Amino acid sequence: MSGDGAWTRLSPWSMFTFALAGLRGGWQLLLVWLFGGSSLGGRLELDGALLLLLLVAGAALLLVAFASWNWWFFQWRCDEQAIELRRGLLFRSQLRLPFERIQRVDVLCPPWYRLLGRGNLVLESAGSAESEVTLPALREDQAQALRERIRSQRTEDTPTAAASGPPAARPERELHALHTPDLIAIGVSSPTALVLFPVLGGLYAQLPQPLHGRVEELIEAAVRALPGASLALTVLSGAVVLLMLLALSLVVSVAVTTLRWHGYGLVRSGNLLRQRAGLLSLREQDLNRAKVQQVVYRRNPLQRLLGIGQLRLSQATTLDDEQAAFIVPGLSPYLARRVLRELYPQLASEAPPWQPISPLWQLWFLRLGFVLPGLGLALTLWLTGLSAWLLLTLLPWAALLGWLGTRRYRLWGWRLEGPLLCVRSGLFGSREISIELDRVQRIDLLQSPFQRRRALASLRLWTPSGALWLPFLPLSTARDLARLAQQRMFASRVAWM
Amino acid sequence: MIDNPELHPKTLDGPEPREWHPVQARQGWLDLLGNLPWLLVISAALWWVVARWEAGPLSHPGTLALANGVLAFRLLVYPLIAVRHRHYALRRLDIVLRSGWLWRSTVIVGHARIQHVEAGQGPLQRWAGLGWVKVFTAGGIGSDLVINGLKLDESERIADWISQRSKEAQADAHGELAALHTQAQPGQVQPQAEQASGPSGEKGATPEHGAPGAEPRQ
Repeated sequence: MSGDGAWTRLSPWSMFTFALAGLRGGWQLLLVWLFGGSSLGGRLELDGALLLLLLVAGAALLLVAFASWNWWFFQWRCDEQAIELRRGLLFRSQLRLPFERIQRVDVLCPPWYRLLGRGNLVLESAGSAESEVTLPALREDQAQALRERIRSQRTEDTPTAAASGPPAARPERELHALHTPDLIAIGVSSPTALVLFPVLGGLYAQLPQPLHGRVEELIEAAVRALPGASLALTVLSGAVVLLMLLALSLVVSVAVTTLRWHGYGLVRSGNLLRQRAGLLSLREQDLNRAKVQQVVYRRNPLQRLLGIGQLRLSQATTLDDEQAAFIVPGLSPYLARRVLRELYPQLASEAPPWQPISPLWQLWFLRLGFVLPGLGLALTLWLTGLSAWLLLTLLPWAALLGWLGTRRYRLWGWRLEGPLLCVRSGLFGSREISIELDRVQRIDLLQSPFQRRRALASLRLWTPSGALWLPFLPLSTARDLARLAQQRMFASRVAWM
Repeated sequence: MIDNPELHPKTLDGPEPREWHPVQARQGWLDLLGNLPWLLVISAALWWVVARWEAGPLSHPGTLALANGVLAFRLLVYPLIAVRHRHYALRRLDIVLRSGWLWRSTVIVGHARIQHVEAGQGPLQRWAGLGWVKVFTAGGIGSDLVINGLKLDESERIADWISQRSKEAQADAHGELAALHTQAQPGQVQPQAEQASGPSGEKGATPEHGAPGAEPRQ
């Protein structure tokens, strides 16, 4: 494999990536160049087209120079234990990433590299300042070989791998795949659609009048064709416009989903979970089972209606990057449970029931949402002499809060399962967070005056990949859980990564 | 006390230790002094806002007095009370900090999870001969545990001890990990089993009380 032993340069194609990175990092500079240049050119009374050509050519030249500079001074090599990078001339940096420290190896193939049979290898390591490194434009076989090598080095030293044999000896097993109906369901229920809808509405309102008029004429003609619709004509045509915008935003959202998740497949091979997806850019991710620290199963209200949700598997990483996260989309609760059992085979196929938190939580919620704002409101209304409104506003407010509080309370729950502590919460959507008690590094036990009077406590458990919050437990339960986490923390043989 | 901590399994029986150590009460006065400028700034801002108000409940002189009273309590009186509720305990396997008067919190950090420890002092503390100890764990969420208001030499000794102890605890974990590899039977070692392999020979002492569902990880 190239990159073995001696320092090597990347393929010249990698200049694409460097140029893009330059554009991303230096677009402000580019704007200054263009605007400054054009005002200067105006003063020098240059011809407009010529000036533009000069400016763009200058910018392109700068970009090419930047890219080739980066390419020339980027060298890498790898030995038995680590991969090393050397970058820059003026600010020279050398980085050594030991394989065992590497948390994540992704292959990302943007469309232009896919045409050339090349891809970027993205490495992320734990606990170093420079935690993400990209090796751009490697040949596909080269990237795969390097990835396999890092994998094999990495998996050898995890205890579970030693128990279950080398990963190569195990065949791949398919766990999850997405087909067109799944993609549609994910697209329809994704927040993109909700964001797009008002944006598209705004855009529509900004359309120039003739276009506007034309669209409305068409709709009116269509509506008029319906029998007996003349009365509610304006209402109907308004509704049609809204429906069309909604449909458009759903279509765009499904298209975005398809771009990202087309051809999705999740397989397990040995200790690794691998997934690949993408229509234009192909992304291949893998995840070592033993390095998962936190599993979050999240469903928004629409996803709950459609019976799907997404699973997010986190390692000890300082990055909270959507792109870098290992996300399994479109999972029904049953499938999510199956994936969780792939990670933790000791779990039973049936999940144990959720343990409730103290019902006094509802009282606290009412107090927080009602008593304090309510008192403020009452004071204001009384002082402004509108006390008649008091009852009218407070009663529906109390009813709403009571309903919300009960609903949210019912979704709060926790359970202990094998190595995991799981907490569920939500209001209309829901979120189930599972952490490994072995990875806990800090335990907070909190009591407000309200909780102290009623022998309750809240618990927060911290792992490197995030915290888990469990409010309003009976004090004895909170202490038991804290003690359990403490014992696991002491007894655990696992390093924090 | 610090160099020779009491190592009795009984101290492990719960998240909260039996014996707590207070921080120096002088720290409360330092917190008060440190808050004085804030009090001045905030009440000046309040006064400025209220003075602009022509009519209504906010223009009442009582409002200003009430707001200033609450502020003065929070910034000047509360620190004096809170410092008496700040206690810490250094144990063989973890550090525990309890703080807060109305809202109480207990924070527990295990030695094996500590990345680094810092000891230092603020400008006011320098004058009073006090200092702090900050304990950091992995994951980039800032310092996890701060013991503020220790005597300076004490804070330095505590930081040294914690740093030493966390190194031992981590060497323990890694040493045992390596031992597991040679045995290649990781699943069979019980987390609760007595271990004497660490340099201190104290890791993994059996806790007295069974915890809910404390099965070993496979």
